[in-house]
This record gives sequence, structure tokens and C-alpha cells, in this order.
Amino acid sequence: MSVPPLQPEYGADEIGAIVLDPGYSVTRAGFAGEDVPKSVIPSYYGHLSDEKPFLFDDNAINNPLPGLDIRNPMASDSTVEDWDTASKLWEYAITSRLTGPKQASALRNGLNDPPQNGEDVDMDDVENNEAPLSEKPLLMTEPGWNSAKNREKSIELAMESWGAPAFYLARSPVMNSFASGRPTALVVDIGASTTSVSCVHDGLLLKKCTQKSSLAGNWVSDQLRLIFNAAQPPVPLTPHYLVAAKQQVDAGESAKATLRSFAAPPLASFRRLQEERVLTEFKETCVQVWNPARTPNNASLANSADYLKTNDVGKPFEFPDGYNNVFAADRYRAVEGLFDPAASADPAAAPVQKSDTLPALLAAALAAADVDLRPLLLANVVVAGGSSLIYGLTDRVSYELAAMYPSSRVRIVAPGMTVERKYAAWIGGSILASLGSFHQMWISKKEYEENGAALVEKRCK
Amino acid sequence: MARAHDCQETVNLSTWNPQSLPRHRRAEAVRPSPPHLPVATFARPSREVRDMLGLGPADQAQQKRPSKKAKAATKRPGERQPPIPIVAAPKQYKAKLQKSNENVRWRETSFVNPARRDALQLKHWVRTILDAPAVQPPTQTIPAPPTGEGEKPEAEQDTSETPAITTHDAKPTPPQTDEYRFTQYNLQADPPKYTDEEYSTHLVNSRWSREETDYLMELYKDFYGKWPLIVDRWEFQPVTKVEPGTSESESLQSASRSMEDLKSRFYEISAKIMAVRTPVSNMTAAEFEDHEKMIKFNPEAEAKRKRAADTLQHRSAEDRKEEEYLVAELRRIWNHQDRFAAQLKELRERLDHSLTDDKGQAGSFSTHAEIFALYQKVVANHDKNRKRRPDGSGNTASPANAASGRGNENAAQLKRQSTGGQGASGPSHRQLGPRQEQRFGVTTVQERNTPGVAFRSDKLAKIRQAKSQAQTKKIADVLAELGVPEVIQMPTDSVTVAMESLVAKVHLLLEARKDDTPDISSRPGTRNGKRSASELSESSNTATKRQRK
Repeated sequence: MSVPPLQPEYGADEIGAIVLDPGYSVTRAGFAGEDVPKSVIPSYYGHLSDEKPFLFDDNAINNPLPGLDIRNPMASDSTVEDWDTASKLWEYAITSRLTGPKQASALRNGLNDPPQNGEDVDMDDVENNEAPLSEKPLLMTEPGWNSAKNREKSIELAMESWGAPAFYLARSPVMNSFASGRPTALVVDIGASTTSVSCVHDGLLLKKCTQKSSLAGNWVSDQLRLIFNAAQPPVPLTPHYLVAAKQQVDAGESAKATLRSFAAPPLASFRRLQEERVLTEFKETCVQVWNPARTPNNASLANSADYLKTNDVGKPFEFPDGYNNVFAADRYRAVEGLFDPAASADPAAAPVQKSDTLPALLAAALAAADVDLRPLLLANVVVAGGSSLIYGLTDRVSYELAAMYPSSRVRIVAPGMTVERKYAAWIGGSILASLGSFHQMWISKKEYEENGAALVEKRCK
Repeated sequence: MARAHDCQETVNLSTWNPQSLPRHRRAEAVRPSPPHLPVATFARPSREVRDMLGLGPADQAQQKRPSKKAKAATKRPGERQPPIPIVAAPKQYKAKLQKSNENVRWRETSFVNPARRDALQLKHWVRTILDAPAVQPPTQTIPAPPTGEGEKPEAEQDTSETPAITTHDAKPTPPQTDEYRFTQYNLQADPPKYTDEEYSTHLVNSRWSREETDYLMELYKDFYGKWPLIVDRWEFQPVTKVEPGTSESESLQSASRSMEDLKSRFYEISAKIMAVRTPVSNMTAAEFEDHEKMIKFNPEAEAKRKRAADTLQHRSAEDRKEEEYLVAELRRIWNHQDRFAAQLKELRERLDHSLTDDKGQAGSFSTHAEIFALYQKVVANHDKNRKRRPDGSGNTASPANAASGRGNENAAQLKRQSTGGQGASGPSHRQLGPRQEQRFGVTTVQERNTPGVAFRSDKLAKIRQAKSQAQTKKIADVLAELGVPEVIQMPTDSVTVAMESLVAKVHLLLEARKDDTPDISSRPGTRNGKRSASELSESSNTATKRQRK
């Protein structure tokens, strides 16, 4: 083994690679070396009719067109389910804001030449020129539990459909830890549809430690729906697009709003997406994670009703139709099920498995890790993902870990900037793809042609 | 093959700042990038920024290294130094933009990474000087083996500072024409290699098949010898032989193996191959050490250690607190023991010294008086040895309350008082406050005493004596009448003082009686006399009370 260089050297060497980080709710794409993705589009798309099957981007999917159906190409575990649509969606994410549709020169593309011998136009050449990524290496992220079949499909898509000169598939937990500058980390990623806990050792994922559950951002929204329905009187959840005009009402009074009526309304999935936007706002402004360390005797949320009455003034929230109220204990209950199954919104109707809660995931991941590695992992707990921005979540994670391993030092690494938390995996990919020492890792087109798609299993470990 | 993690290991990503990267992409049309712009955004552009801009090393004269003190202040133990030192930059006037006459362009050039076998061409932006004579494009370069010298000066500059605003007097570095500079990070693990013959003669193990051993070596190489990863990705599928000749018992265990299992097999092979290549007698010291380490690897002990570490990690907060308390307590006991042993040793040395001088035997000192005499002699000897100055301030210790709870520590205090007070009292001499003096029973005797140690009870005996026998008898009578015992058992300081005042009053009384013997009843002095007798009884009461105390 040769002698490693003594001085750690800053090693950026940009090659203009494109980093693509598909998620269940949002797809992020941008150039490597930049600090935020340039192209952030929703992973949801609109399906209007067979003539207009794909409507991408914010403007299209939030427009209440008649018969508009909102769909998502991703499966609920953040892997890709519908590859055809996903490829179109990603292509849109890349071409709409990053590369632009590549057009061959009209003089040379052969389309305008007079047909010489019937149809002798070299279409292959035309297609190569119009492949969206013909000049840019592509780095894609994938969840830690992605199947081998899905991985091969990714490389086929990049190489054959998009004509990328080089490709790499990076695991998103590793990218999360890179974004925080840690080669070894315990990564807690709370996204829209999946919460995962994984261990990263020296820049590589420990597969056997990876744990995931479906208690994530969308689940919190569902909890909120349950809480709103169970409230007396029920809290109406009217999305913005239905409200034509509203009047100011007192807190807790029923809303006085004139609603719009549609002759041909969009489908239910559209309304659900719009409700989701209201709930997202509610989650951002009101929902908070209960921290037992706040009370003198570390009381759980169920036992702190009195404490909340005296010490928590609650937070006001106004819905699009003008209904407004102050939410005190409910804003804690919406997310408490993530930690305590018994404290979820409606344990009877929507039970939460204890093994799906975050403490259980953390315990399982750490138990699977080597004993000697555990103190190192606990000292580098990276919290990432959009739903991890729920207020007080990092404190609670820290509390739970300290309770689990009282004799170890627990240190949470969670960037304060929301952008860095939401796009952590993309940022990690941006770092990786712009490193000079990484460029030997790309799977080049030549290698792909020689070895086939199975090379991705060997190279992208 | 490359290491995925080496980019992590060798490059400090925590220092990564996306803004530091030049935004080449804005230059769709090739245009000269104004060199002052990106530099000026940094107070102290790091060498990498300079590198990317192709500015070359900073002017040595302008380089300002932080002082040692500043470095020590900013550096925390166990942490890498911050990428941009937290040292206030000296105030500088904004330098004028100095335009160089060179025709500098940023060009997108393709390059080849020699670590790759497929000659993939990637493009990056390189600063080129158009007027410069014939710079061959980097694509034509042939990867050369690393010399290891080209990078050294760069590495040294890495820690050095560059001034806030750079002038372009320094020659810009020519575009990279030599080897791709990140090749140096391409490190590979090299597991031991063995031939079929070597395997069959040395390495056969009943618990490992040849295939599984090969798989282990392959995984070791793939995961750069990181054992947690090797264990994590261990998915060995033995080739199931369906041939009828092989029995079930022959199929080797294929389930997940523990890290200790893998390590012991790997070290076993490494050590054996090492010994085969170089006999143990011919090994260098370092090789021998490695060999010893690998031979001595004990998987059972390792597994046991891990189990212990596991339980240690899972102990509760109370357990941890209790353990901390016990450790602190133990440390206290040890400290105390050490101090006590040192004191004892010193005392023994003193006693032994005088004994050898006297050629006497310890057994001969049987009575109290003899031991006392010996002790005085020892002390006198000791003082003589230390060339005591007759400064008159002879502090003597009162060993009175040796029976109190903190006897040992008191003794230590007292000894320090008595010895430290003698010679030129060093820094160990401590002034005690009145409360402490009372607590430790330290008294400062004003009147001049006989040298050496004197018992306070002697003083009490002395004050009972009068000049004449009859007077002594009279005093004894009065004292007996008052109920003061012959021997005062606890002659503390206060008791002695009270006793002294009592005896003084007795003297007064006897004096008065002597004068008034003829008409004891007619004179008012008798009343006085009676009154003084009652006063005496009062004071004797206080004396006895104090004694009881």
C-alpha cells in the first residue's frame, strides 16, 4: 500500500456534473459544486387525459383543471415505482432549468437535407445530439434499501436514454453524512414518506444497520387530519383553491367563506395535494415535538397535561377559509406517535407499531452496528430531511439517544439552515461529484458497454 | 479500482464551501474571468482557490503566518485546524486593481484520470494564458508514475496564509500539463496473495473452504480493509455440491461470520504468508512486530472484550454515577494512605536514627518516663541536625487532643506546625486563625519554657506546690474541699488556665486567712472570706465542667 498524503488537501475539481436527488415529495437537481440545487420540482405530476398525460412542475399541478389527477411515480418507500414517468419527470427537472433541450444545428442535423435515397436520414446521430445529458456526467442518489433491479434500471436510463458520458449511483445516507462533513455518521433522515436510520462508516453504508419506517411527514399530516376530525367541533380543512372569499371570524368560530364551485372539478387526489399544502404550513408553524426534559420529572406528553395548561400558551393558526384557533396540546400530539405509539392521534383507528417509532429504529440500527463503532456513531448523529425541521425534533432525538446510551457522548449534527436540511442529500452529492479524487469512480459509457448494468453493483457500493 | 471513501478520508469536507468554487458555468462563451473578483470575496483566499484560479503561490513577502500564541488559541485538541484561521487580518487599504497585460482565458479542457483504465475524458475549466508559447493540451499527456516530489511544496503551502488581496505579480501557474494531481489519493488495500500450492501446504483450515477464503480476500480488497464494512457486506454463498459423493457434514458453515472469525482467519493467512516469504529469523524489526501481533490475535479475548464493552455502554445513568463516586472515593483513600505511609516512614526513620546512636534497644524503654526521655533526645538530635536557629519563637505543639476524630490529620498538622515553625519557615508554614488554633489545640506559649517537650500536667502539679510544706498542705486541703481531684485527667488549655486562676485565688484566700486569723468573725473580711470561698467553689465548678467537656 502506498503512503497516503500527509496534508489533507482540499480537492475540488469541477467537471460540470449534474446531481439528481429524487425524493417522494420533491425532486432536486443541480450542478455539482453549487450549494443548493437549481431545479427543485415536486415529484407529483398531473395527469389530465391521455393526450396530456404528464403535467410537471408547480404551476401545472396546482391549477384546478377539470379532471386533473395528481399522481406520483415514486413508491411509498422512496424507491421508483413507475420508471417511465419518473424518467420523464427527471428529464424535465434537468432540462427545464439546467441544460435546456439540446438542439443540434439545423445545418447539420440532417433533418432539412433533401432526402437522397428515400429515407436515409441518420436518425441515430440526431438522437445522440438531442440526448439531454450527452455532455454531463450524472450522479444520482438512491435510498439505502434500493433493490438491485432498480439500480440497474437507473444506469440504463442514464446511459441509454440520456446518453450520459458517466454515471454514479450514491446512497443518500452517505450523501447526508457528506453534507455535514462526516465520513462516519448515524444518519436520521425524515422525509415525506419514509423515516430511515442508517449507519455510515468511512463513506460507505452499513447495509445491515439500515432501518426504515413509514412514520414521516405525510404520516404527520394524516395524524393532523385525525386530530382535526376528532376535535369538537371538527376543524374544517378547506384548501386555498376552493375559497373564493373569506370573512374574518373569531377564534374557534365556524368559517364564513364563500367557496368556489367547479362545473368539472379536479379529482380527489388534487384536493388531497392541496390539503397537504395547508397541512405543511401548519406543520411548519405550529407542530412541535414534545421534549420530556422540559418538565422537572421528565414526564411524557400524556402525563404533562397540567404542565401544558400552565406553561404553554399554544399557537394560533388560520386556515384558508378564515377558521382560526389556538392549538396547544394538539400540536404536540400530531407528532408524538413518532416516539410513543400510545400517544398517537388515534391509536385504535390508526395504530402505530412500536418497532416503527424513531427510538426503536435508532436502537435497532445501533444494536446492529459493531460495539467499537457505536461511540463514534453517537458522536456524529446527522439529522436530515425536510420533516426533521419540525420544531424540537433534534432535541428529542438527542434526549432519546442519551436515555438509550447514558454513558456515551451524544452529539447531534443538524444544520440550522432549512435549505441545508431539506437538500442535505443533494448537497452531499454536489460535494462528492465535484471532488477531484472522486472522478475515478464514475462508471463511464465505455465501461457500461463492456460490463453491462451489473457493474453498478460492483462499483457503487 | 478506487476508494470511495478516500475522498472523505483525505479531503476535509467540513471545510467545503460551495461558494468557494468558481462559477465556471456562467462562462458559456469563453470570456476572461476577472481574477480579482472571486479572490476579493475571501478575506484570505485559500491555496485551493488560488489553485483553481491558476494564480500560483502567494507572494512570500505578503504571507503572514499567525503567531504561535494565536495558533494555540484557535487550535482545539483533537480537532483539525479551521480552514480559515480565526485571526484578525491586519488592516489594509484596499489595493488597487492591477491588471496584468497577459491575455488570460478560462478554457474548458478535457483531461484523463490515469487512475481509470477506460480513458474517460471529463472536462474541467483551466486558466490559460493565450500569449504563452505553445502549451500542449492536457489531453495529450501520458500518465506518469507518481514521483512524489511535485506535490510537496504545495502541501507545505497548504497551511500557510495568503494575503487578503493578491496582486498578480506572481507568475500564474501554467495549466496542468503533468499528471492529474488527484492520482495520489488512489490507494488500494493489498491483502496477502497465495498460490494454490501455498494454500494446500500452509493455509488449509477445517472451518474455512478455499472459496470462502478467496471471498474474504476479495472483500478485504473491495472494502479497503475496513472490518465493519467487510462484516456488513459478508454474503458468502457456498457452491452447493449436489454430487452424491459429498456428505452433509462436509458443507462448511456459510452463515454470517463474526468479525473476530474473519479477522482471525485473515491474520492467520497474513502471518503464514509472511513467514513463508521471509523466515521469521530474517524479518526486520517492524515486520517481526507485525507478525507477532497477527499471531497473537485472540478471537475469544476479543469477543469477550466486546461483550464487556457492550454491557458498559448499556449501563444506566445511576450505575454510572455510582461508579464515578466509587472511583473518587477510592482515589481519596489511596491519597490518604500514601500520605499516612510517608508520615509513618519519616517517624520510623527518626526513631531508628536515635536508636542506633544510643546503641540501645527498644525493649529497654518500658516506662513512660524512659520513653519520654528518649523522645526528648530524639527531638533534640533532630533539631541539632537541622541547625536550629535560636530565634526565640519556639513554637511548641500541644498534642492535647490527639484523641479527637481526625487524629491522624491533626497529627500531621501538628508535626508540620512544630517542625515548620522551627527553621526558616518555608512556604509550607501556615498561619492558623484563632478558631483553627482552638480546634487543633495549638497554643503559642509566651513565656520562655525549658527546651524540649513538657507535659501540661506537670505545670498543674507545679502550681500546687508552695514554698513550705504546711502551705502546700493547706492548698491541697482547700482544693480537696472544693472537690478538685488530685490528678486532673484532661489538662486542656482552658482547664489549665482555669486551674491556674483557681490556685491563684486559693493563694489569695490563704493569704487573707493568715492575716485575719485572730478575729475571724468580727471583721467584715470574714464575709469577704466566705464570699471568696463561694467564688472559689464557683470557679472550681467551671474548672471541673471544662474538664468534663
